[in-house]
Amino acid sequence: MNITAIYSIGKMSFPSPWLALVLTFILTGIILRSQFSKTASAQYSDFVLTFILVWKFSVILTDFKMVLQQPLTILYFNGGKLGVVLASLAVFVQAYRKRATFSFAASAWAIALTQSGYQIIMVLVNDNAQWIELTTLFISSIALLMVVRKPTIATLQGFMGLHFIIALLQPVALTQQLSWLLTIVATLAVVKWQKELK
Amino acid sequence: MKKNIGMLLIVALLVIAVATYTKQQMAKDRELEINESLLGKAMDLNYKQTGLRKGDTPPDFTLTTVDGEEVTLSDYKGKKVILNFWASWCPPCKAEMPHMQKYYEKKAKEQNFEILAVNLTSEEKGDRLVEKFLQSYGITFPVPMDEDGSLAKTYQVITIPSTFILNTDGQIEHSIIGPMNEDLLETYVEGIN
Repeated sequence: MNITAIYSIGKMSFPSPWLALVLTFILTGIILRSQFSKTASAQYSDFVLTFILVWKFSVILTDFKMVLQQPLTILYFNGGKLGVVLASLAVFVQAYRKRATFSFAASAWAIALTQSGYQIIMVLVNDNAQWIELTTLFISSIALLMVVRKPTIATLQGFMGLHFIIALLQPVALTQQLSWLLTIVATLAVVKWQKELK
Repeated sequence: MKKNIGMLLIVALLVIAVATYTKQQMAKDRELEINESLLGKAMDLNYKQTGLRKGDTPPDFTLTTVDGEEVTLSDYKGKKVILNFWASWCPPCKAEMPHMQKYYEKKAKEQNFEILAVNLTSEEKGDRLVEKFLQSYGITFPVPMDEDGSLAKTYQVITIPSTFILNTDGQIEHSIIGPMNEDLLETYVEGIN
């Protein structure tokens, strides 16, 4: 999706992906809580917290020089795209250490809800070509329903494939689509950990 | 029964999403019809204008830059324009400058944009301050001086930094309050024509 919407709260503007992601995190948390144990949603919100904190403060690493010159940079900025990568790395490390405590079904739901939810909300908040919006909306919904109806390794891999198709259609280059790249990594990791358990 | 609550929630949310999308598209179609049925610009009179909105062509201006050159906004048609309003006493504006400079150096040609960083000169304590600041940060994009504060008033700039991003036709695509880093600037500029 091209980002066409920017929102403002008070003296600050923020782009639509932030809104989409926050909504996705909240909805996913609620759904995990209602479908699975408290542990699943607690683990999910731990990851969300790690993600946001590392993303925000990674500006110290990504813009080290500027932070030294102007310490307030930490307040104004975040780590940007590199920050998202670093934040995801932190989440993966955290997840790796807790992998034995995961329920596969809950993990599959979490991945599917986060990725499909984000894509769907991005369609709703931004204004892109209609055919791109419609296919993104349609395929994301099908992929999500497929996983939540039957959370197996096969459906999760299918989910990954469907989102690859969505990624190909977007007006943004594949390598720039972090949401899709992170979905692959998360899926592969969860599938691998599940196989190890058996 | 507990097993199905999550599933029900998801289905309900998907239905809401589809309904919202359909409603949005219908509203958009209706707007198009109205625009087509009325003659071009007469339509503008029907909107109660409060400030500059997406799709507006902002008022043109000619100002002198810190380097003594004259810049006119309309001369930049054909290029995207990042029109920034700033002052040297404003910490977030200062924090944003190096990011704009970096982005300008790296991508201005490739992504076809120009940065005009209008300085609110009437609110500065001395001219030298601005010049010194620009030098110390190695700023190379034009910095027009709004000497009497009239441009900021026309553009209804209250909070700084404020930034307008204009497309190649000179229309406003985005209005942003607050500082932006390189990534965010690029995201906004790349997404428009």
